[in-house]
Amino acid sequence: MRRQRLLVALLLAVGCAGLKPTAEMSEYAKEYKTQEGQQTKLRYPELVGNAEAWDAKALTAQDDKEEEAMAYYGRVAWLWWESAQLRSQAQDLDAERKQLEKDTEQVKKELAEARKREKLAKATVDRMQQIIAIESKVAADNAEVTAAREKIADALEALRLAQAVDADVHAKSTFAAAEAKLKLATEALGKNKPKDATTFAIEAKASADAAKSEAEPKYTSVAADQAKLNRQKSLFDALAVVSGAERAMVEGGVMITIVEAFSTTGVAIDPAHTASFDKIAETAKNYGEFSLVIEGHTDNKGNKTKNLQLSESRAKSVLSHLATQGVSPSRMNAVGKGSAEPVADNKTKEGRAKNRRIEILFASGQ
Amino acid sequence: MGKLYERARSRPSLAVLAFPLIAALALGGPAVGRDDEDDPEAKLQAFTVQLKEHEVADTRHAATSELGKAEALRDKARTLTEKRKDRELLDRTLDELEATLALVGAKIVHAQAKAELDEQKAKMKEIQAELTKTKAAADEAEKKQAELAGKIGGAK
Repeated sequence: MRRQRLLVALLLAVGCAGLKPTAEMSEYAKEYKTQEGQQTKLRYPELVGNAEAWDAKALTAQDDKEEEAMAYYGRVAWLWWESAQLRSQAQDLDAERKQLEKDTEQVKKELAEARKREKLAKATVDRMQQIIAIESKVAADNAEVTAAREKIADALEALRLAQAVDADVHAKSTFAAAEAKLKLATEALGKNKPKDATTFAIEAKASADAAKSEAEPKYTSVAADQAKLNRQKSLFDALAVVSGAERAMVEGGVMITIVEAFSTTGVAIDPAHTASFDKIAETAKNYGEFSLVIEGHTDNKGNKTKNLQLSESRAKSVLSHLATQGVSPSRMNAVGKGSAEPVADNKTKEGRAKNRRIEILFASGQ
Repeated sequence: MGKLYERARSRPSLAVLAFPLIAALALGGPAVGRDDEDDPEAKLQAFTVQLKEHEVADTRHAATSELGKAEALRDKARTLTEKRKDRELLDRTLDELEATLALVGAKIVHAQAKAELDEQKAKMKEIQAELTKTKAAADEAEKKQAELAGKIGGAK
């Protein structure tokens, strides 16, 4: 009798204890709560949603003491969770790579400058060594020789200044002529013909000066193009503050795209997107040299003409909003494109959502 | 959803269980028990195609083990479909296959991102080494230029 009672008590205890979650379930529960886990949920709600659904089933199975079902549901939940985590990590890796690409571009620029510096110094050293080699052969006390040496030194400096503005690239023939004359001058000095040396050196300096004048506008223009490009890159970076928008460097400027900024048929900006447009306005004010082309786009649902009108009204609505935020209307232009320029497949729900968009082109001036 | 889900961990109820399911359905992605995906043969065919695509895409062999598991699940599902019995086990097998394929896809994407980052790091390292070398050469040449400048007087 006593044994029977003990057995019943033992069975009851086992029955009430419940199942222990599997390692995958425990790991999921732990990772889910972390900051990284919540980030994953924000980035991949669909995948995490699946994981949550399966985990909920696993927990129910745990309560119902269905061990096999619990293990199965827990495993599937874990597979979805792991997928989401890996994709989120991949996104971080992509972001790190993009930053590294930018840094690499900067280092490339430094490398180009260092190469230019090296080339210039080496060319000048070569010329100096030629002159010094010749000089050592001729009498130093002769006044004519001294005058020739001074003129050669002047020509040498003029060549260096010309090369500093890339005259060897932008004024190739004039620069080559200057170099040839300098060579003749040093050779004449070597042959102890200081008068000829002086004449050639003066001509060399004149050619080097001409090459410098010829190259300077092109050099400045290249530098200006580079400055414009740098400004575009800076604008691109500044627009990163606009959440939920896509940015792209395009020919002549920077494009920012915001999808589904309006209710289905409305022309007033959805309050959820107001902050994004405010940030665009703030950035636009800091980059006053860019004009703004605001384009409204729709999907292909409904009447074409109505879509065109709707897209134009929405573009104008964005223009008005930016104007109220302090962007000068004279810098802006609003255009409606209707459904004529889709960027995604209109056959799918996701594609249509991508097509319902506002594109703002920050165009750099000429 | 987060708070609701936290409660679900402590005491699951039918309403709580339904919530993520409904959310996933609303999002339109692969979810548990979608009406339009109830045909197991169609599902199996779609997964088989997806598996083939993943096998081709996994050039870095990032998901070899998962691909093996997915193949085994596909074969199991195929056998169950042919026998036309034990529908519950077939559904489970297909659901696990779907989740495994999602993991395979994620592993491939992750491996690709990692490889691209490593490649960029190597590129950066190479350029930085080149920069150090070139800067040293430029410094050396400028030093030499300064030394020679005094000898010919006037040139800088």
